[in-house]
Parts: sequence; C-alpha cells; structure tokens
Amino acid sequence: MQAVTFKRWEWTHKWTSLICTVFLLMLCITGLPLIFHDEIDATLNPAVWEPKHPDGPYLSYDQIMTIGLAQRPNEVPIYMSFDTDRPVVNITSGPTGDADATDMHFASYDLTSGELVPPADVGESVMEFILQLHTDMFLGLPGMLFLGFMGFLFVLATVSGVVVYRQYMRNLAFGTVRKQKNRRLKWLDQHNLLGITTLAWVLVVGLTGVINTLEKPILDTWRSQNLQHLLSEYQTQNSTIATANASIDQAILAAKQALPNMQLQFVAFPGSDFSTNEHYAIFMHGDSPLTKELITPLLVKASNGEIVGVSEMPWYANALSLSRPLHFGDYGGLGLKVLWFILTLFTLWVLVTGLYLWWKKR
Amino acid sequence: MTTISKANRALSKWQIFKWPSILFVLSFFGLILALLVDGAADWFAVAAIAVSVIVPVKFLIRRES
Repeated sequence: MQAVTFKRWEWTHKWTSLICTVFLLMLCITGLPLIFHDEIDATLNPAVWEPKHPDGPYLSYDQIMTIGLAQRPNEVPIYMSFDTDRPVVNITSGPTGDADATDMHFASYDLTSGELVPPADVGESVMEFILQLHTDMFLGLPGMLFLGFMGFLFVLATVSGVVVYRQYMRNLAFGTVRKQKNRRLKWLDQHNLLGITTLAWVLVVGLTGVINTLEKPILDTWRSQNLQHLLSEYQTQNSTIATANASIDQAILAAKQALPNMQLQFVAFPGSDFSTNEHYAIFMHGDSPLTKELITPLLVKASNGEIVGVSEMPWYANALSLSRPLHFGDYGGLGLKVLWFILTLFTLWVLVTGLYLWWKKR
Repeated sequence: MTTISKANRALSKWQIFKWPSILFVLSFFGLILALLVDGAADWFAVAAIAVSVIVPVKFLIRRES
C-alpha cells in the first residue's frame, strides 16, 4: 500500500474513532445491563405470579375484554396482546381508538380467572432510564438519529481499522503482544488483537444498531405506505367506527386458520392507528428464531369475523425486525448473553486502548 | 512485478489475515446460522463466537507468558 493511501486510512480511523468513542463508551456501558434485562427483572421481582387456576380452562378473549372494559367504563379497546410464557392477556384502552400514548391505559388479566395481574415493576424505572439513555439519550428521534450516525462512524472506524491493522502487523505474528517493551506497544497489540478478533460481531452489532435507530422512520414509512394501502382498500369513506359485533375469539380463530403456521402477536381494534374503522387488524408472527420477528397483518371484518385481506411486510420492515435479535443477542439462551457481555467488554477495552494510544501519540 | 513477487505479496497478505479471516467467517456465520436454524441458536452462536473469545485469550496468554 502506498504511503499516501495508508495515511488517508489512518486519518479516517483516527477521526471516525475519536468522534464516536465517547458515545460508544456510553452505549457499551449501558448495553451491559440491558443484555441481562430479563434476568435483572426476574431477580428484582422474585415473587413469581401464578394463574389462579393453573389447570383450569381458559376464559375466552371476549370474556376478558368484557371484564377489562367493565373496569374502564368510558374507554374503548385499542389493542389486545398476549404473553407467550404465561396465560396472560394484555388490554390497552383509551378514550378513543386514536388516543395519544399518554392517554392509553394498559392492564394485564389472568386468562384462567379474569383477575388483574399485578405489574412486576421493581427496578423498572432504573432499567427504563438505562434503555432510554442507550436508545436516544432522552432526545427522542433526533437523539436516535444522532446515535445512528455515531454508529455509522463506528462501523467506518472498524473497517478503516482493518486496513490499518494490516500495516501494523506486517512483521508480527498473529496474536503478538509485546509485553516487555512498554505499555504503549503492549496496549497497541491488545487493541489490534481484540479489535480484529471481534470484527464480525462488532460489525453485526454496529450495523444492526444503526438500523435500529431508524425504527421510527421505517415504521412510519410502513404505516403510511404498505399498511395504509391495505387499510385504504377496505376503508369505507366517511364511515364511523364500527361496533365490534363479531367475537374476538372468532376473528382470531379465522386468522389462525388462514395462517396456520403462525402465532398470534396482537390485535388492533376498529378505529385504532393500526386498523380501519370497520376491521380488526390481527398481527401474526412465526415461531422460529428467524420468523418470530417477521410480522404478517390480516384484516378481519368486525361485523362478521370474515377475513378480507392479508399483507406481507416490506423488505425494510423485515430488515428492522431481523436487526433487533442480532443487536440484542436475545435469540439464544443465557450462554449467548454471556458471550455478548464478554464481547462488549472486549469492545470497551478496544475503545479505551484506542483513546490511550491517540493520547500518547499526540 | 514478476509472478514470484506477486505471489510473495499475496502470501504475505494471507499470513497477516489468515487468522482474522478464519475468525471472521466462523463468528459471522455462527451468528447468522444461529438465527436461521430453528432451535440451534445456542449451539451455533456459542460455538462460533466462543472462538472469537477463546482464540484471542489463548494467544494473549501464550504470548504474554
């Protein structure tokens, strides 16, 4: 490689790294507890909830809805979702179907008895704080996009780092750490070794992190184009919000029959942002690590439970869905999380040694 | 540039990137296969990514001792 070309790559590596390092340090440190979010929640909320009748029959979704709305008499149902690991149904209600999120009310019900399930929220505010800091630094969409740009710089720093690595390692065997010389050389070798060995993981987590920061624009595009297209095909002009005459159970049964290999994710009620005024929108997903992230919405007539339309998600929404598990490392068991934790520590060390090397070289 | 010197340069590049390439391929495909193969997430990902952890640690210990 020519000296001028190498200088350019080195310049790129130095400046892209320096600009993003502070934010990457914050992202790594806040990412560490988020890897074990589920385990921390379980530890802080040790009281294990049990259904009232573990072996008893389940109530119907219509019965649960009746119980839920009786407790919120002036509200309408907006969404119904389902826990995967326990017989619990969640109902989101509000004054109107298109109410702001702040005006919505969320409650969980025992599917065996209809009783309210107490929220397991000890420590939730701390984890929520960490998640918010990690996601957008409390700045909303501008914060997310800014962190996305920092992630892009980090990917650029990683790629330029590979080019620079080649020049530094010309006369050294892989894995050389010159411990005896001085701290700068030792840390340079550790920076190179850990940086190059974690390359694939860092690129995957970095790129999927960038995609995750585009969540809101991607979902807005999906809703305004694909979903709106599906909804507009069946939305009658000037129609009022239909009374959901058809049974929810009947609508869900029809959806399951239409997509027998998929699982139920959530139901959007007539008048909500994810449905028309006259239809239930039923969102289904697969059950493998890959397909459980991919969603397929169906429209079911609220008047008679008849399926009227099915829509595939566009590629960019699928890319977002698939980037989540690859970023969070939550598609395996505890072993995968431990590895995510160790590799995050390695990345932290690469960042710290990189800063040290720049400081010493000044 | 002669064929021999070209071959030497290619060999030299390969020597530098031999181990990084192997680790990259193993850990990258481990991550993706773990997501694609139903029920095999831990097997693929842990085995493949573990290489990314074990190899550098092994080298660090060997070179530093």
